Amino acid sequence: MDQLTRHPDDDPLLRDLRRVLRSTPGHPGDWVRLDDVHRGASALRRRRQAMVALSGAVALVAAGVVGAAALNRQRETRPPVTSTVSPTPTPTPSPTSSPTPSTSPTPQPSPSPSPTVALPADFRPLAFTATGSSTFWVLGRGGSCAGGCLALARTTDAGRTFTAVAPPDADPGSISDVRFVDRRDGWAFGTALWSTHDGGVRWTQVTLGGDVARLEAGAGTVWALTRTAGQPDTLWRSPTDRDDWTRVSLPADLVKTDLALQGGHLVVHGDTDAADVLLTSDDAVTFVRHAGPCDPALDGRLSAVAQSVWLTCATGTMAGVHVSTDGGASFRRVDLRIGLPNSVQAGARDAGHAVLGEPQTGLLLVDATGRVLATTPFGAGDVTSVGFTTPDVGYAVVDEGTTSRLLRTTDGGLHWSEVTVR
Amino acid sequence: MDETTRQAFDTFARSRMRELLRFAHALSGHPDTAADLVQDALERTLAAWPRVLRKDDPEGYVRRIIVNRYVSRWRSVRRERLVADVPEAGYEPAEPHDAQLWAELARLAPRQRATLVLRFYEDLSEAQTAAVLGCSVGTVKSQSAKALARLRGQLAMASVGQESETTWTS
Repeated sequence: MDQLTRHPDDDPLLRDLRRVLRSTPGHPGDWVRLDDVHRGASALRRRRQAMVALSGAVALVAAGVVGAAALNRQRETRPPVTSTVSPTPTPTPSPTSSPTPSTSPTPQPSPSPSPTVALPADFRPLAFTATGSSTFWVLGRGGSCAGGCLALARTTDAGRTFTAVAPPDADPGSISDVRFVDRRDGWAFGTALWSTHDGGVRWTQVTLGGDVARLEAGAGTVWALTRTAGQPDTLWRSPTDRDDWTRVSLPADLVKTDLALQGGHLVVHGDTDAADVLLTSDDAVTFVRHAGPCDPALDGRLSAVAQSVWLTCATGTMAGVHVSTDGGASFRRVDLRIGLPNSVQAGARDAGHAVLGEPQTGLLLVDATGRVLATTPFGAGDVTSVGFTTPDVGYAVVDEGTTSRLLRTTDGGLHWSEVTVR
Repeated sequence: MDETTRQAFDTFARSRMRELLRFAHALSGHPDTAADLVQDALERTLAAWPRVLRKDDPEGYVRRIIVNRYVSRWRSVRRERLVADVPEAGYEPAEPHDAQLWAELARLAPRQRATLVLRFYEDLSEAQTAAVLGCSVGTVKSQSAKALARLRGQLAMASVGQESETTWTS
């Protein structure tokens, strides 16, 4: 009997199928913005008009060629009547000869089609940002510009396929990192800051003053840490869905500052006369100040996931790694039995694990007791970023000088494989 | 586009947005892909809005675009180089059996999955499903049969695997 003719209640598979499909979760109604739909529809109409105009022009040229050929044939076959035929006839095609007779074939001042965005064949990953285990953006360089043009790629299927997204029209050297908080709102930053609120269709430059040393977004707010030589670092915030930046007043003048987000909680690490950790849970209205484990004169770098905050401290000889499971209020030292250079990068995985990117060596999966659980060597190269989107799925960008690679793990950092962006 | 037309489209889109997103999620298995599909379909619908309104079924029009773009998107994806393993779904049911079924649905060819979604999520008849997919009723029957056979086979294999694992560990 055809399975489809059975009553669903008679067939467990059909019954389960209905239940599973109908349990598909709903989305927030603003997951797709109507403003974006209107903009996209306008672009679509412009492209169609341009195509119609183009096809009309092509038809005109084709008709002209056909007409000229016909006249030439006539001249070849008919006896020359030189007194009535122009020696260089200008073809005037009949309007009905065009396949699109309703459209004037003359040039129109209609907007040109949107430029097609394509990824350069020599795309070199520079930074990544993820909004889920399967959805991420990769900022890179490639193409014919000196040092490589900026390029941005987005995937929603965990790197199987990528779609080119228009990057900001910025000096490529001014952009070194990228963040997206959802499919629309994102920021590209470095010595400059650009934002988009329509998934990269349009980018706007934001001027905060100074280089953007770190930018993180979550819980409806984007935080940017700006740095100018010889001055204390400044902290800025804006709603994620628009550019409405305000400067945040910090309880101390901080230098060598870093920040991380743990849900809606902001963790700021900075040096004053001590290496402090500042915590806020009320959108930076108030801060609670804690003594941090790093040397006040040296850098500290944060990496946070929901369950833990990891902090790597430069020490002058080798890096110290610390972990907090109380949102950054207190840290305990990870007793690593290996020496790590100060430039080591930590990517928090969960409460008990992180991946350390050791320059010129590889990626080390460590637990909070300091044991190295797995080592993935990558040879000569520096890890420019490493992080996890779920306890299983993580990414790392390895810069090898003339080239760079995006690596991905799906088993919590035990194994890594290269993701090719094309 | 005049303001009245714009408002009519916005009212329609707002009122149906959640259901369209949920349908696209059931179809594609992923919330981000669903949002892409719905935005793309709404843009195309808006670009042809007066014509769509004359046909008196704007939601059916949007859903047809979603299904067709989903299937054709997969066709174009097939031509590209695959660089990673099976993508994770953005949602997983809590019950292990349901999670397994959801995972196996994700592994179906998109046309087969679309057929099952239209039949068992949308409750469309075979003829209605054929109309949306732009194929014959016979094709709907064969695609459904193949999809269900594959699901049965995969779920049976998984069940055997679990049993043997249990035996081994005990």
